[in-house]
Amino acid sequence: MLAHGFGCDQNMWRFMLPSLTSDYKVVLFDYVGCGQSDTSAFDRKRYQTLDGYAQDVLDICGELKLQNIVFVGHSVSSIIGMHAALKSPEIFSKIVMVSPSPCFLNLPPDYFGGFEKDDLEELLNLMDKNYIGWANYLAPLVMGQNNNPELIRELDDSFCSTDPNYAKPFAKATFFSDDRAALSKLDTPTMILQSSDDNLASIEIGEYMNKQIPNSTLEVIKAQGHCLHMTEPNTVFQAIKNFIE
Amino acid sequence: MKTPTLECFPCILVVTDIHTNKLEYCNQYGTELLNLDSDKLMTYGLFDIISKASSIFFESYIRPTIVSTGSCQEVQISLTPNTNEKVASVANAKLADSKIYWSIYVAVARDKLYQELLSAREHLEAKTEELTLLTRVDPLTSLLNRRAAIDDFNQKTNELDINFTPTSILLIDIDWFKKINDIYGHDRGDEVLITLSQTLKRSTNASDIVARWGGEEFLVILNNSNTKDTQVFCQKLHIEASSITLSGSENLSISIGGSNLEENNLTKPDIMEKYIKQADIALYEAKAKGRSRTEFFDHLHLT
Repeated sequence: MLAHGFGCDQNMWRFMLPSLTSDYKVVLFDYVGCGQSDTSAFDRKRYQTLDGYAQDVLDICGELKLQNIVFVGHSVSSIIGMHAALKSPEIFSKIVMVSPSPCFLNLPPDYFGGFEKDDLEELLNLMDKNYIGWANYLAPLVMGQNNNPELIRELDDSFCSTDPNYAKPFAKATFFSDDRAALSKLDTPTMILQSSDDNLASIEIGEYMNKQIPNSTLEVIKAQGHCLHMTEPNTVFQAIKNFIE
Repeated sequence: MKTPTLECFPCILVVTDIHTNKLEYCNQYGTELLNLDSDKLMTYGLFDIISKASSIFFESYIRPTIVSTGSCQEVQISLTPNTNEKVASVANAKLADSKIYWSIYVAVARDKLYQELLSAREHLEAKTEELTLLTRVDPLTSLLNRRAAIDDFNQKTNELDINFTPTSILLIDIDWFKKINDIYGHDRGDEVLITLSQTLKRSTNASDIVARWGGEEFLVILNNSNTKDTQVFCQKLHIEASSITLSGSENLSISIGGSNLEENNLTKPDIMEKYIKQADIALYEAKAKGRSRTEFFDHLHLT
C-alpha cells in the first residue's frame, strides 16, 4: 500500500508505480480531503489528528480484506502508517518510511524537528493565501454543510488537486503533532529512507527515529529534497525490494 | 537616447537547480532587494532567500508540481532579505533542463488584501456555524427542531445503508397537555416541555437523535438499539416522566409509539415518512389503549 504525504495525492507515486505493478499487488488511495477522494466523508473532528487519517488506512484494509501488507508512506504518511500499525498490528508485515519526521517542531534541549512554531504558523497562513485562488475557496459558505459532489468535481483535476478546505486541517495535523512517544511502541519491521539533504526531515531525525523504533533500519539516500519517491524513484524502489524480499 | 537595459525590470529573476536548489542566476534587481553579495551569488541556495515556511511549501507543493507538470503559477512565498524580515511575494516558476526559472514579484499589498479576505472568511465561517446552529435548534427546549431531525435522520439512513445496526424511532406525546395548559397556565406548560426535554436528553446518547417534533410531541431515534433495548428504554422513560410533578398528587404521563428500522430500502426518498407514520399509528394505539404506555408498530395486529 502506497500512502501519499501532505500537499499532494496518490499521483506522487506515479514515477515508482511502473516498477512495482509487475511483481506486486499495489493499493493506491487518496486520504479523505485529498485528490479525488469523496469529500462528503470529511469529518472535521475525525481529521483533526493523524489518528483520523490512520483510520482511513485501516478502513481501506478492512474493505479490501488486506493482510500482511507492506505499507509505504511518504513523509507524514510514515507516521500515519505507524499509528495504523499500532492499532491493528496484524495487518502490517513491514513498513517503509520515506522521508519521515515524528515532530517538525524544535523542542530544545533534546529534540530539533527543524522548525519554530512561528515558521509553522506562517506555513498555515501561506497555504491559506495560496489557496484563495482556488475555485471553491468560499464554496462551503455558499453551499452550506453539504458538499455538492458535482461542484467538487469541478476542482482542478490536475496534479496535486488538493482542496484547500481539507488541506489546512491536514497541515495542522501534520505539522503540529508530536508522535515521538509512539515510536518505541512500534514492533513492525520498519525501514527508514532518509534523504541526505532534506530541509524538512534531516538525517539526524532519521537517526533519532532509527534509535527509537525497536525493529528498524535506516538508509540514507544521497539526494536532495523531501520527495525521494519522485526524484529518485529507482533507488527507492530497489531499497524497498531488498527490504521486503 | 539610451538603449533599454534588462536590469531595469522591477521583477526578481532567479534560476535554481531542481536537484541541488543552488542559485545559478539572480538579476541585479533581485540581488539588491535580497541583499545578496553579487560576487558570491553561486554560494547561495533557494532556502537562503525564502522563509522556512516557504521552504516547506516548496517541498510539499511547488517542487512536486514542477516535477510533474513542468511549471507552477502564482504561488505566494515569503522572501527573506534579512534574517528577521519577510517580504510577501508572488512567484511563477518553470522547469527547463533541470533548472527552475523563477520570476518573483513583491506583493505586499496583495498580501494585505488576502489577509483581510482570510479574516472575512473566518468571520463568515463562524457566523455561518452560529446561524446553522440557530436554524437547527428549537428555541424553547434547545432540542433539535423538526427540520434538523429530518436532515439528521436522512444522513443516518445513508450510514445505516452501508453499515446497518438496529435503530428505533419513537414518537413521544405528553398526555392531556391541553389540560395542563388550561389548568396550570401556558408558562407551566412550557416548563413541563423543558423538563421533559432535559429528561430525554439525559436518557439518550450523543449519537441518538432527540427532537421536538411539534407542540407537545417529541421524536427520539435510538442508535444501535434492538427491540429489547428500546422496550427497556421506554419503560424507564415512563418512570422518569412520572417523576415530573404537575401539582400535589398529579404527575406527568406520556404515551409512546415505536417503530423499528428494517435493513432494506433505507435510501428511498420517502423512508422517513414511512417510519414516522408507523410510529404515529403505534402512538395513536397507545393513546386509544388508555395512555401512559408504549405501543410498537410491529406488535400491532392491524387489519
